[in-house]
Amino acid sequence: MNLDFFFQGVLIFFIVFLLWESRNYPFESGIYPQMVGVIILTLLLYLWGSNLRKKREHKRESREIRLRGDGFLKISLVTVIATLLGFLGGFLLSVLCYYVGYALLQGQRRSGLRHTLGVGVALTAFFYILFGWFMNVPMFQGWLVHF
Amino acid sequence: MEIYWIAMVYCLQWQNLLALVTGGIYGVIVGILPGIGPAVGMALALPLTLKWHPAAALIFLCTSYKLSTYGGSITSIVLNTPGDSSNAATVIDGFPMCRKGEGGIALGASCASAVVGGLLGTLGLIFFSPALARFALRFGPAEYCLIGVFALTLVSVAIRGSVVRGLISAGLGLILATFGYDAVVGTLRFTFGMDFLGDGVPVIQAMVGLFGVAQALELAESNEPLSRVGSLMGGVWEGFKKYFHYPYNILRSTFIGLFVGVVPAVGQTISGFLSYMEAVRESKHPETFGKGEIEGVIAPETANNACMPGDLVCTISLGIPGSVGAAVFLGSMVIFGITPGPLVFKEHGDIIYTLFMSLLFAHGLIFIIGLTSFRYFARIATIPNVIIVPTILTISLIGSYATRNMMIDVIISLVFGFLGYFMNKINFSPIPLIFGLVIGDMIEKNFHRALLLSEGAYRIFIESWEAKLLLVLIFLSLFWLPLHRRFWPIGTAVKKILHLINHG
Repeated sequence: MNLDFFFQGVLIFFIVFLLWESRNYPFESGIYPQMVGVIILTLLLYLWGSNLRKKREHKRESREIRLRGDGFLKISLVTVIATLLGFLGGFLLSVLCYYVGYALLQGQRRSGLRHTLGVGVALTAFFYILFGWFMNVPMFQGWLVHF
Repeated sequence: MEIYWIAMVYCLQWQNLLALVTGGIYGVIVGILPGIGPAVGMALALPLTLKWHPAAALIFLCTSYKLSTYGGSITSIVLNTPGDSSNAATVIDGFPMCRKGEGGIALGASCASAVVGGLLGTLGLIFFSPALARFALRFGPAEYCLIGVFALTLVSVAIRGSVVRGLISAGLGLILATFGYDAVVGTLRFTFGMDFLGDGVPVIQAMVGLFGVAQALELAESNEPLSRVGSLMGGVWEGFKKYFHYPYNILRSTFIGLFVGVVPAVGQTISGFLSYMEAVRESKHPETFGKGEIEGVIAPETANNACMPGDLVCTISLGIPGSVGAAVFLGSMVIFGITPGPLVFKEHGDIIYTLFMSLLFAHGLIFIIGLTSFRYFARIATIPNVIIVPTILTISLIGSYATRNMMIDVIISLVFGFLGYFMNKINFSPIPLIFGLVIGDMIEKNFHRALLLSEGAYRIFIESWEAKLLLVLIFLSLFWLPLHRRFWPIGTAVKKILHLINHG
């Protein structure tokens, strides 16, 4: 599916949803977001319509913007999983997982992986010292771990 | 004059000096990393500075903003890759100079441009800001609301992609700014039962996500190294001295940069190209441009560095950011309890003047860094992707987390990161979105205040001559400039530059 088209469709749905949600707000609270919402909706429908028209007129020339699905999915998966691990074991665990995950994603093995892990561990320690010690940010606070 | 002496003394306190030096080094590093830019750099560093004194924090952020422009010129010259879009014009002659073995001279000229252009721009900032603030006292809430809308329309027109997409992005920012408690009546809007949205969409997390996380995702997907090291020859001091052989270029470029900087939402990229265009036009040997002409480095870099203080004039005096970096800086000021606008000099004059003085000192820092450390900073851009990507991601997300110590903030940044990534893919710039998010609250508050003053009558938005002028400017920015884009001088300049490159 064309990503551009899909994104605009999602935005239209989002704005319509917000406009629907705002109908119960007091007048002074609702008027401003409703005005902005109507303007955005008008622009979105205009853009959607003009894209449809261009697509029909220039069928052969139209370029569909697509994602490089495979690479993007891998990156997203690593990022999301590593972040979710932070919920369990604290954000510092996520930091280490970003380095490990990306190193494996880049296809690093053995010596390359050892080097990257070494750098990752060193930087993780640096972030812990900077944020955990100096700024008292709880880096080991998660559902399973609580320091 | 007394206030300036007091500000200088504050600036020389060890905490502020330390913030200045660390901010400067951080800014150069950020500038050297291609694609990161001053806005991303400040967004990444902002959470780190939250627990500092406001003066030290703002000095750090402002200095990093200042020096990242200089840092970007290093990669433009050495690596043929602009560190930020504002350094794009420097590539045209900077890299050819490096190829000819004059890389050191180019770097010296860029260092001198940063020092001199920035100093002159900062002096302009110091003298123009209070005057602009006094003029701004004439503005009422209706005028402020219209200024905000004007700034948004200018951003939407000026960024890449279609005007309609820019306006949609800006509108999205405005709508997101309405989440949370309504400032007028106190109604809880669009929280959907989620407590963390009670204070609205957090600006820091959104900024960090849209710039930092999105950038990391793009770098990871491209799987290409940031750059390769070019060979650096000596002659930095020679280039520094050669800079002063072109006084007319220096003054013209400074004026262009300062003037462009004061106009909301135009930005350093345009000032760089405009200045380059003028240098080509006025040169006795225009055919040398594009082949390694030192004036081709002097013009855009001087304009860029004069533009940044000009950006701050509008940001501090009117509360209207002149660029994305200024928008991030504006957000930072608000977070530290300093509301930009005409009263800022009365309410927080000590901090603002200290900031101005620190900007003057920052140029001394550029001089030192530029002449001693450029070789080492350039190597940062050669760090492999496998280290750089998780580092950018970590710095982004750790900054989000550190704000409220809540993992939900990390999720918010990730969501905005993916949003920014998709928006970049389909030519919806996230810049107007962040503009809308930062100034949306100001626009809405002034909208309601104006209606309260006029007892609900919308004619207040067309009553005063200032309001009428702003409406005309909004109309022109939306309809005239896009229609006449082919005749706009910048379009002609870009065509000339491309012609020079192609037939070089």
